[in-house]
Amino acid sequence: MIQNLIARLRPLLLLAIAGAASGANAQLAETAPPSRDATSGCELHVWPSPGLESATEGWIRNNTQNQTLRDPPGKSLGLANAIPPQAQLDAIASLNLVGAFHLNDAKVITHADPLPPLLAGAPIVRQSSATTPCYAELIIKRLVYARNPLSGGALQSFFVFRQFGPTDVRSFTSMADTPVLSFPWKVPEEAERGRAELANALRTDLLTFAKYSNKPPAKRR
Amino acid sequence: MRFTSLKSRAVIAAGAVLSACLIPSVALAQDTTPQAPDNGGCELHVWPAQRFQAMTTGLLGGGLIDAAAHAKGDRERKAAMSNALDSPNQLAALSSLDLVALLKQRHATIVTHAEPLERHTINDIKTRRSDSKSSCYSELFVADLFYQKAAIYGRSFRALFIYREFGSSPTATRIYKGWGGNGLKLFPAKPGEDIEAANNELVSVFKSDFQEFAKNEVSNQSAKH
Repeated sequence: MIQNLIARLRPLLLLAIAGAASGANAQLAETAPPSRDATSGCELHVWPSPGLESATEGWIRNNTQNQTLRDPPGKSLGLANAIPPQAQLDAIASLNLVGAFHLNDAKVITHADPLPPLLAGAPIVRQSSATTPCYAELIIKRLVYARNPLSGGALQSFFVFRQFGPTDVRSFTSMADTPVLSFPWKVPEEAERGRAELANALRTDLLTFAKYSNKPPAKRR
Repeated sequence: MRFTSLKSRAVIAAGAVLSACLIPSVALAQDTTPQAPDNGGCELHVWPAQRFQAMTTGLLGGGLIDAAAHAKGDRERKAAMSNALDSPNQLAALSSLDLVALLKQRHATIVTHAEPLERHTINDIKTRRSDSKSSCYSELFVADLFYQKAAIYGRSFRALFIYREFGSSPTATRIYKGWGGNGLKLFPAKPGEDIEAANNELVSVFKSDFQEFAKNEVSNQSAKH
């Protein structure tokens, strides 16, 4: 008789247990940090680079670092500020970073301030205070306008992508470059077109880098 | 050996931390506040390079056609070089070495400067490039960084250093300029590959270049005495 009673009440008991569990989940979701994704808890943190640099060569003489970005006498072109950190984040905002890096349901969190320089050989640690177990980082490490008189100019972008697992970290650092024609602009009126081209080149570079990062590692030479 | 911050606190702090990780035998003071030198007033000021160059010569042995054939690659390599050995990484690499011992100096406080000097002024200006009034003052410049690939000799990385001694004088009393150069195996990485190992190799070869320069500088100094 008791067994029959339990059998009859089982659906009600299961419903009650499920209700209690979902209530607990709801409570957990409320107490979780606001940046945490409610479905998977995965996060992709993105940092911009400090700004544009240049590594160029002239027809006769080699140039020094950032020489191209200096304003000519009597002109204010703003070349050094062609793609500041916020402009980089704006440029890549339209990209599906989660899809490009094969991160399932990760929440993209952008940081307005660039990171301090990453030194060679330094230990790999999380650059944010996030403690979520499913965590990845995308760092726009450096943006270089590179030009050679025989090959033309290009935006050469250096990126770092790091995916933190429970016990290990997958780190991939590489670069991609896209030719640019409207930079450096010669008059302020051309600045808008130049900035737009740099932003577009950054998007292209980032998608190329994402493809590189998804490839299996090449054999050592 | 002590590191004192003047213009580049953040860089020195980062360099000192890295050095402490990599070269534990080198005693470092990780103070980040400026302080009076206590090594008999001796100071060695260090500046990173502002000029990078990459040159590839194929079987044509140079010339315009050869340069045009390698122009895109050299453009990429130059930027890759300036990424791996930017100013903070140059200073961190040098700070991880015992500069005073390698240059056979008396004890000196190492003062690193985050910003490179204008390249063309390094040869032109013979007076002190910092505001220091030290009576035992010297300067070390990384003047040029040069990647070369030749059809027969392969890949190499050379660095031009300039070492200047002043003593208590406002102008240099002794100048030694020289290249250090060593072969490369990993740098530059192929397109699409991870560049971290290649970057680390470049930093390591840069340090070897300095050690070679320092050895020659000491030999030159000994030969004069």
